[in-house]
Amino acid sequence: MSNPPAELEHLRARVEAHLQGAAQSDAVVTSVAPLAGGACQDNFRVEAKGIEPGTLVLRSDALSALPGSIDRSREFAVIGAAVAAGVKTPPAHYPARGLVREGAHAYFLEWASGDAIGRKVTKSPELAGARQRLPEELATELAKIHGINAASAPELAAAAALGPAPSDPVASVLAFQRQRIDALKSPRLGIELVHRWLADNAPTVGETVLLHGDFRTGNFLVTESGLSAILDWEFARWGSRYEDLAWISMRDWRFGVLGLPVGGFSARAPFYEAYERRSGHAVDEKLVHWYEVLSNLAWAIGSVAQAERYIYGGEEDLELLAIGRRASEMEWEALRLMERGRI
Amino acid sequence: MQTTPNKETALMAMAKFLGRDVRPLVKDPRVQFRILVAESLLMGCAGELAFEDEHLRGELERLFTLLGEEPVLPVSGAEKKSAIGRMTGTLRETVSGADADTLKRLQAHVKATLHDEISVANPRFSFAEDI
Repeated sequence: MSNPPAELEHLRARVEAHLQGAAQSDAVVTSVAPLAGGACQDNFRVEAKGIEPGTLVLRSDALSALPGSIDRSREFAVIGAAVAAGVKTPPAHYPARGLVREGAHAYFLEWASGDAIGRKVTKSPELAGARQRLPEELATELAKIHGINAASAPELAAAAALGPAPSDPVASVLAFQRQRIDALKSPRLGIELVHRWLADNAPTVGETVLLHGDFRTGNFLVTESGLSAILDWEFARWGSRYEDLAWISMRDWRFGVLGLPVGGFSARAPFYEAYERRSGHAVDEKLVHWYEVLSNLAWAIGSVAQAERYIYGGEEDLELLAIGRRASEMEWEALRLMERGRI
Repeated sequence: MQTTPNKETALMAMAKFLGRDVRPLVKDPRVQFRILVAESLLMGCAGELAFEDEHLRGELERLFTLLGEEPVLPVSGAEKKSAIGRMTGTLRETVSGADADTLKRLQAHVKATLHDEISVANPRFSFAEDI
């Protein structure tokens, strides 16, 4: 999305009026500036006086979205449940509709400091100490997220939030991926082969929990002291905890540090051991393997779908095209893992 | 077509211009990032063009073998791509009912094709089997 100055000034005025009403304040918005990064949502940094906190992130639905992406209204509900469970994530306030674009849901996040950029998180010398702490800190937050289920947070199981939790998370995720494959305008043979392998080797997993849905390097903030905040809940859903446990180790989220499979900053053992301690759930590496193949399938489909948002969805963001051209890397990785038979 | 410089050279020159001359002048980090993306796209397209004929021919030959068709190579790039699209579509429809041997052969073909694609689009990608 490009934002000419006049458009930003109109947005600033609308945001100010909204904050004055929603927060019953005399808020004066001094600036609204688009934030870099994030190929899925429209994010703006908002500076305001007369309201606490005065630095906020306005997060609004984009023109088009990837399948599986929830709108900002549902995301607002998920963040509320996560904050209530003690997850280190910025609280969301002042939900709105039509603020940035007609019909688009939006809300305001409290600003959190830190770096999310993958190559910085995985390679910056200043963050070397933080990287040592990340396995324990991230496992702790993930265990809190997975402690939420449809029974403990019935408001999230409502149709206006995430809807009911599936009784068979494996069948449900395979059916969802099938649907996404069938919706592609540029289908791929590799994607078909991976889906077939997943169906042939489907495990039995009973428990369904709240998933962050995009738990990986790039979606959490890190300072020199360690983890600062978990971000980006737009793919939150019900499912098997292994979806999140595997997603963070997907090759693409290692940002080139292939030898450190957990997010490009840790070996597997410290992360899984911390998760087991915090969640009381033993990590089964065979299940991680199946779900890592699934992760690569999901991101291969997602990459093609991102390019289709540019080609057919009216979104003129060059990054979407670049992501689409990388689908083949995820297909390769899924096929490699299938042949290898283990993580 | 004997236009000089050819398409690959022109695309590479544009990529270099963006990276060397334009990006350092831009202050907005969002635009800087998109210039980097544009640069990388242009380099990928240049690499693709340079190896296109060789890669298309290899993919077609594998597809003819997999489908047991007479290996008649189309002449133009557009015809080659159209034939690849048709044959790949046929194979895609066989996946759900394919036996283990067929799946293995299809998988080998896809990996060879992906190898060609990735090696030009992302020359730093590691194809090591044990990472």
